[in-house]
Amino acid sequence: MFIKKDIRNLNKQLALIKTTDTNTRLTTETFDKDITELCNSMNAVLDERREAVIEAEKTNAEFKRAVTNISHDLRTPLTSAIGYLQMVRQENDSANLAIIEERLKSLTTLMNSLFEYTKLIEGRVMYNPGKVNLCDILRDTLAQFYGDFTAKGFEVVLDIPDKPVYAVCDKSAVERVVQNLVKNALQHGYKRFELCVDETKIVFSNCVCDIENLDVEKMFERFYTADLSRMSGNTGLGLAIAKELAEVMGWKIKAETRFSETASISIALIFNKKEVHF
Amino acid sequence: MDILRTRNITKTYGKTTAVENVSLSIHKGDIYGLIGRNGAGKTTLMRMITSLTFADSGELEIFGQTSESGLNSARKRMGSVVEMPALYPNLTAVQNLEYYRILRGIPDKNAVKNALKTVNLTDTGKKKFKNFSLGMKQRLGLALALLNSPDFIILDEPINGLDPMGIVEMRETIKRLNAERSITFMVSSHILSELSLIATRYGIIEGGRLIKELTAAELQEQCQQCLSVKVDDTAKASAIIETVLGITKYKVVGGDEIRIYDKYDDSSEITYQLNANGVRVSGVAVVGDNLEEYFVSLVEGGRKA
Repeated sequence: MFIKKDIRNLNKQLALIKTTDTNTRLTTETFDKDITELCNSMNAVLDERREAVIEAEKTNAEFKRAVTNISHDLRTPLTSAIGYLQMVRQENDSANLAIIEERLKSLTTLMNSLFEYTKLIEGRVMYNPGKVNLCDILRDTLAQFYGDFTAKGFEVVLDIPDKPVYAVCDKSAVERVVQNLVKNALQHGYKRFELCVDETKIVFSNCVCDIENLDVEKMFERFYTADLSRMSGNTGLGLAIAKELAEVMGWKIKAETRFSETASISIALIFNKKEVHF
Repeated sequence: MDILRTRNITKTYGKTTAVENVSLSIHKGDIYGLIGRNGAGKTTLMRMITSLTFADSGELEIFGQTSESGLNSARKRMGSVVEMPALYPNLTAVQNLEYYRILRGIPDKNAVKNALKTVNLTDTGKKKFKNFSLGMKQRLGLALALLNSPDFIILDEPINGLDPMGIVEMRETIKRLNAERSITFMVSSHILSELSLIATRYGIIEGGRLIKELTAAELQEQCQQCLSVKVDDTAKASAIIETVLGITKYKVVGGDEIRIYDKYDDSSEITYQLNANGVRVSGVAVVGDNLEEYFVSLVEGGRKA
């Protein structure tokens, strides 16, 4: 009787251990000789499995740290290389030197986003929540890019209410997310940019030309970019950073393509209404 | 995944507020150092997490669980030494742990020996718990916390009452358990420098409020003295710093900031040379305190606010 109950209980424990990342080991209620032995053997197997997992995690963490350190350490020599190059160019300029400088600068941009991204995945970015009016952030950010939009011939449609929309979030993080999403629209879209805000989400939409090549599933993965040469200073990290930051705040980000008269893509930034309580 | 999260957690005793709106999170693999002066609210916070007392308001989340029953099962994956552990004064170390081993249904007879070995408490023999020194009691407490292979351990002032050798050992034990068994720790102390050797993240608490959370790297940056120079062109500036000023220990840390670790007391020469060579300098400041100064400035800032 008791032994049967103990075995059922062991099975329950084992199921839990299987699905969680844990050090937990099997325990017995009866201390029956055979069950105790069974537990000990199973625990030994669990120990071995656990050790392998921890080892793998450690390697992974070390790798992440190495990438962060490298991206951090490369910044200084890269910057001073540009400095020296500029000095050379002042004395004796040539078209090739100008190209070298331009390439070094796009390398710097690449490095900076890589650094920012690794900082994010390592969880080194601190989240300082406060009450923020999202409409203000949207207006400020769009004002920054307004010139770029008109220069590229965009029709910009904004639907931002006068009434403030509040959310509890980190202001600089939201600014960054919005900037990245707007930049994304600016870089990859054409013709029409739309932005609308309601009580639960912000939606960014724009027309895109080669929608066939666009993979909505992969869009938020790091280094996803249609431009494989990365010559345009496009790192493929902008959306990955936006997603990562949004998730730190408990927000969600979703993309959707639509085919009406022109193909378009909408990215919805769904903020967490639940946490608003003042 | 976050191991622990608190959201606006508050606890008052009569008219005094011991913990006020604390929202913190502990990530998997952290050694989280909770730093604060005596009476800042560290122990109260830990008591709420370990269910020795209940919060008046706010939400607690352990291993993703927030419901009452969920929290109870989550706490089974947790070990803690907050205040004196409930050990029997007339039993020896081995007897005490053996009692808990059977109570918790741990099948392995070697579990007790292993736990005692981990905390370096193997040679107490027939000495009864009541005759233990404070340091030995602390260690036995940790051994008890380790007995059921936890994923998360909470230690309140674990180095209290330890001699210098004991402090080193305790630090090594925490570090080893964190690395080898992937155990997440939350450790409180009133001495920042004691924790600075092991913690990966810090929460600084004062007057019941969490006034700052920062990572070990951020703390190190805060506490490394250097000259921060804000310029319009970091590329040009770095070439000048190397060639004209002959400084090699510097770092470009952002789009407009360079940190100089060498000759930083001669800020006038640095600004002069940068200006003379056509770099606009918009700000120069010596940044970085030593650990204690930094802690004091944080705590004082927290009290005023």
